[in-house]
Amino acid sequence: MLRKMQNASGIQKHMSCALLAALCMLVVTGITSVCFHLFRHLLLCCTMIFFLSVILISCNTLDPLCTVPCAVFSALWLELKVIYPSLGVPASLRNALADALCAASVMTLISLFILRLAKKAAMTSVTEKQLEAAEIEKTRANLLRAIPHDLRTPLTGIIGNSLTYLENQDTLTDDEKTEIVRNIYESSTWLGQMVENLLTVTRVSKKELSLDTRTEYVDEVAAEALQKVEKAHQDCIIRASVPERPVMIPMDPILIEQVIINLLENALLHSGVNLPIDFIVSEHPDFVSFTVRDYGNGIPESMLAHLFDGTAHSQAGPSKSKGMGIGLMICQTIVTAHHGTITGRSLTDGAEFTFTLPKGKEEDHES
Amino acid sequence: MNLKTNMLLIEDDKNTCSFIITALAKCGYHVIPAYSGEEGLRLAASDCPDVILLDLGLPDVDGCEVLKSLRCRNHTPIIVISARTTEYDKVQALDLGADDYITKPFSLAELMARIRACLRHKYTCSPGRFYHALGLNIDLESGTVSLDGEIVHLTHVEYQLLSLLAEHSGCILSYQYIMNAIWGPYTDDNNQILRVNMANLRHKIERNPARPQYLFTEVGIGYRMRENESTDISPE
Repeated sequence: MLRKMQNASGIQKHMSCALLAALCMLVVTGITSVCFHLFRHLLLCCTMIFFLSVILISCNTLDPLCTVPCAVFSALWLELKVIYPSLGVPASLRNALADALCAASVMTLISLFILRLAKKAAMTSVTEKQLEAAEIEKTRANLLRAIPHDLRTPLTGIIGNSLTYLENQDTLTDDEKTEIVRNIYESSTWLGQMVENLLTVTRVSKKELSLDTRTEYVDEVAAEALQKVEKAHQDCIIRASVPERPVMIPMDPILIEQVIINLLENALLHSGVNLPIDFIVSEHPDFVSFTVRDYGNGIPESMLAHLFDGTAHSQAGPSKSKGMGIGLMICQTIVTAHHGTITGRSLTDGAEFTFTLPKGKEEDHES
Repeated sequence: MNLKTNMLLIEDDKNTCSFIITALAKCGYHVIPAYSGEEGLRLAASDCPDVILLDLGLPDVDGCEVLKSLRCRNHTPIIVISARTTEYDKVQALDLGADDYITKPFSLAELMARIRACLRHKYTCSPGRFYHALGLNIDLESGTVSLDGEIVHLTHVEYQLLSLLAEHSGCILSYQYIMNAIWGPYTDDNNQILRVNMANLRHKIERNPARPQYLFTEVGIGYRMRENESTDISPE
């Protein structure tokens, strides 16, 4: 309600602030009168209550025009209704009024000072929000920029292969025809995977990726991801292992499957060899780790520093450019949103990518 | 199946229709296409197909509405074809009465498996006595479970889960369906107890839970068991 007031136009804003301040003062006056009537010794208490309410009005309305009258009113009311009548010694009304005005000035100064601090804080948060929005746009723009490149490559393959088939049907051998159709199939399934990545990008709408977090069993998610990869790559060999006992951790299963699929497909496509790949899920005290290990050509030195920033595809050769950059960038976005870590390293006989997911609170599972 | 099985395919994309019809014809199924929801409802009423394949993304009416209308009429097995991959849409379709679903892009092998499972449930009035697939054998009457020749010891709940899945082998069972069947219709929405029991069951039955051979999880939706290879049907 107060934020709405702050966004309203000048006069309206002042009016609504004034009303709120007046209401607040009325309430506080009422409460303190009753208290003071019942307990005559609550002098300091009543003073402090008024002081507190003036500060609160100052912080919330951010309007000096409201604050100053409240401070003056508080000082006068306190002096005349609470303090003056309580003074044991006979004192002149003039002195009491002077005391009240001094107090009012001090209260005004303090509340104006606090008002300035509050205004500064409000402005900082607006600037922060603007910076956040800019960051999100930048991330989304980077991801989107990398995608058309990754879409054009398989599309070129599909169009080229199918056109070749249509134009040369009579002269192609059966083996050649099978090869062409296989190429079309592989490019299409790759496109399918790109679409999934695209869908993930559309979820980058807040500073943190919007997660649909549930607790899921790691073996269920791993199994489903493996099935999807093996459906698209019929000849691949992936050796998979999961922890001995069922482990449940909080995660967005669709996104984590996306990460696993991206890492496995990268290993299948970029290792350069047709050797088996290892996919190992291990349980640690505070987190679960997911490792994809291939025994291929490893990662070139030049790419290691830029693995997750989306530029990896431009530095590799054109044949290796099928979506490694965008996939890894999305993996990092997802894993970071889960408060996990992701690393990639090159070994003498291949490459290894590992991501971790924190375990969350231990729950007691009873059968 | 001696008679040719009649199937109704309600799908607006002609390319998808043509490849499904061609492939299913090779397997002995006669497929009638319908390119809109209205045409589909009309043909379902007049031709009484044995199985209906329904695409959710129809041009004239929401696929779910067609599903509801089809379900009102009779118990013909309905397999929903969906391009929507959110779990909510799949669970909704199952709750509205679909027997199974398949997501585009799908392989014909998958579609065939789903159709076979649906038809088996249509033509088998009572569940068979035996479940057999690869190394797993379940005697549903005596309640014994053996895996690769060794007896598997399951808790009461685990056995109930396994036998329920075996009776509906090949078909997807949603979490809600299983909760209702085993824990009754008045349980709350928390399916934790089901998940935990299934996880324990999976670790007892599967050599490698990352590579399930019998118990397949469709994350967020439910569970599916490998098709029963046993042809033994108990007498009425």
